[in-house]
Amino acid sequence: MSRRKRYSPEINKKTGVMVNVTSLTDMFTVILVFLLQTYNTSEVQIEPPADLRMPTSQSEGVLTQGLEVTLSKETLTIGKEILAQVKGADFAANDKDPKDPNFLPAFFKSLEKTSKETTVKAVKDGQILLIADRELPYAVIKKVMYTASMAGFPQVKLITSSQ
Amino acid sequence: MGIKRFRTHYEEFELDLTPLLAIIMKLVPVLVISSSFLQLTQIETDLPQVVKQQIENQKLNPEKMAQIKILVDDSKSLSVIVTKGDATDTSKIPANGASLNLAGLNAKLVEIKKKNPEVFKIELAPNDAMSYSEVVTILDGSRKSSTNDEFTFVDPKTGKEVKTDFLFPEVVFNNIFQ
Repeated sequence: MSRRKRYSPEINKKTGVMVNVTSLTDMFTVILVFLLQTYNTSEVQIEPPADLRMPTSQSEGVLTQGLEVTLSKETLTIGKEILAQVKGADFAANDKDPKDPNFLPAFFKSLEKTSKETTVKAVKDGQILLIADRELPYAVIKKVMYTASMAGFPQVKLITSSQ
Repeated sequence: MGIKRFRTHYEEFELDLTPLLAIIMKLVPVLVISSSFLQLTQIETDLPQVVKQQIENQKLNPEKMAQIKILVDDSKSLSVIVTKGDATDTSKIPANGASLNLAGLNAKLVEIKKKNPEVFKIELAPNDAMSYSEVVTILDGSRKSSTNDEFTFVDPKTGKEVKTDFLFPEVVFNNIFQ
């Protein structure tokens, strides 16, 4: 008398655990699209200081090369060099020329030095990228522009964040 | 006689997404590093150069081209002064309470542009007490029409009529030396 063999499904013991990556791929595709949208193709990379809030503008002008001048509510800087202190709605008295209150001697000297030493054509041509805080009064901006113009930098590009 | 196995539409087709995932995993860090989450733009301005500007102005024959100036006073009222030859036309745009009347300025500039489509430059004299942000809003308001108007002018190089939606994209701060 033969006994019927109980049915047992064939299990391939070599097969490992299959991870379903479809949902992970979905997520990464969404991230990829978002990152491609925010991808920056500009030749100039500007990192404004954390405490500086730039004005917003509808301008579509793409950033070009130039000397980066940063004007926050506290200081006027080129790179990491502090050239003048801002106090309230004006520059500190010792940073201004006593004979001409619109003139900033330390800023002027730094611009002259940069103009002589630079190899960047845009800087040699007198282009400045002005990164200034939106709450500063025009009187302060004007002094920077005045000194820049005196130092042979007549083209000031106002850096703004897009709306 | 062998048993024929039929493929039915019930059998699932599995797409191997692993290579795609591997590519994305490599792309994501590259894009995260090179992405800028703050999109910056620039507004070009020219500062008056004491001698050079004067010489250029004399060469440009100012009698033919209108000169447009925007002045802002302490109360944030705007004055738009158009000078053409000996004629000067001044328009006042009162402030909107404590803020600038940008809609009024834009409408006035559209009106001026229709009369002088060949002019693209304005001179701006902001008030010292104005914030930098307000100066930028004036520059925005004078760059393009808020009602998307188009203006036709004759290109001096080709002699052909060209349409543009720009009002006055070139701005000179004319009170820097005052």
